[in-house]
Amino acid sequence: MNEHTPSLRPALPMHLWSRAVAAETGINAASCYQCLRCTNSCPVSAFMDIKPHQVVRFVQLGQREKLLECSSVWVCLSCEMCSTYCPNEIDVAGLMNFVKNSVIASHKRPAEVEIALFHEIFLEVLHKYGRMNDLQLMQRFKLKTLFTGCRPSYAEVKKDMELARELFQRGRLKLAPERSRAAREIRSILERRHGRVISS
Amino acid sequence: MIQMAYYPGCALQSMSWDYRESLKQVAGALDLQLLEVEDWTCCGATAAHSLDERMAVMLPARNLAGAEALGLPLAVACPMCFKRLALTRKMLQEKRVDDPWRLKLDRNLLDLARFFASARMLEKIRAQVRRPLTALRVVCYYGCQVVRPPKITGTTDYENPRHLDRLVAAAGAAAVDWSYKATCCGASMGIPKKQIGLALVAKLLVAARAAGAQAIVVCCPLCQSNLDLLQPELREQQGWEWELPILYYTELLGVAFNLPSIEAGLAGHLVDPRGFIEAWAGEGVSGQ
Repeated sequence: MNEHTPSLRPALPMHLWSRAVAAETGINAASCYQCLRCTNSCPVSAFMDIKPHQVVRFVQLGQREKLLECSSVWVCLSCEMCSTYCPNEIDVAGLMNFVKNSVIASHKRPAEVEIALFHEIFLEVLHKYGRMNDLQLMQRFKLKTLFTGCRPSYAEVKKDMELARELFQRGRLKLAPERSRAAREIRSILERRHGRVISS
Repeated sequence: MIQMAYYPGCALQSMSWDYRESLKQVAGALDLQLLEVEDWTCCGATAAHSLDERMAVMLPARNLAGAEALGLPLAVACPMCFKRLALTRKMLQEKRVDDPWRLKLDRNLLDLARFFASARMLEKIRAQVRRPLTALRVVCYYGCQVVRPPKITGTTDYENPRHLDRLVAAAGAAAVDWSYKATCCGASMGIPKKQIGLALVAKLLVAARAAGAQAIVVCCPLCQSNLDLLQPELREQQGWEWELPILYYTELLGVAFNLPSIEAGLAGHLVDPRGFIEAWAGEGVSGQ
């Protein structure tokens, strides 16, 4: 057995995990015959470590750990090309999303911390105001990523500042965030979440 | 007078206020009354479902409840919100999620751009055009969320949507065919992973220009922001000596209706379209 083969062996008995996924999500990965239509239609497959058709294959094979560690699911844009064009009606984007949810629920560090943190900060702003605000989101996200080891270069920071100035001058950045009167209701929904993004 | 419940979404309240204002003005000119859902909250967008799908559907659900209180069909301005609301509505109908609000779900959920392109609205639009944009060629860009997945959005024309094309034609302009109508712009990925955002936006802009477009007409605040705000950086990076204005369909209609208040919003675009309007209107058509 060479170094490439072990990944193709089921890590869990297949019927356990792929059936559990089907029961939880209603998505039947078993009907995939690897036509690659999902990967070919994906606008970001070039940026993925495991391609969409491989994600489906890994679900079939019960390779849960491998999927929880991949970056593809975080790179996925949920543009739903794969789910729309699958001839066997497998909701591939739904599988990707299920893996993302599983990473968070099992308290693992996401392979793409910055992307996951962006989602986390989005919910943080939502928790506070009940609505999104671009300036709050950007400020909090930039500040947060400074402390996670993904340090932007001086040139990148300068570019961000220039864009922010330009947007501010054109009235596109709203300094006072809008608050929904129902922010409290949103908080009670958000607090039902399973897990948090682990960034370190 | 047509009345509808209206869900603007967060983008229209902050960065994309130009969409909100142009929408209000065009709706006013067409005698369409949009009643904002009271105390509406964020739909959760991509972030909420990426972290916890079960929790995420509760966010649009409470907005559906707010809309139901108005007893009117719900029109949604932002495609992302529309998709999340449509998905939630379907899950509630199929009883796949809890429903503490006991929703009836007996009113329609509409994508606002598609509603504007309905036969009766098109007729009203044609009657309002004061400055037909006869010299303008555009491509229409729909993005992902109003068309995919068709099981949720209910669209049959997901490969080649045409409703924005019809609005463009009603404004007197020409909508050119191209292959990227529903190709993803990268959504919010440009913030955590800029190289992905830049790559996807560059592909769209190059394709639009190759199709001979002088502007891109959009219906999504996220698409507009990506295509507009990343252009200065792409111009520098790629050495492009051209730029493409990115207009909401409501802005295009506002210009064709000759509503002077549209210009305030246009001034907020990084690629400022104001200088082109005279040329778009073609020859022999007076501005006022």
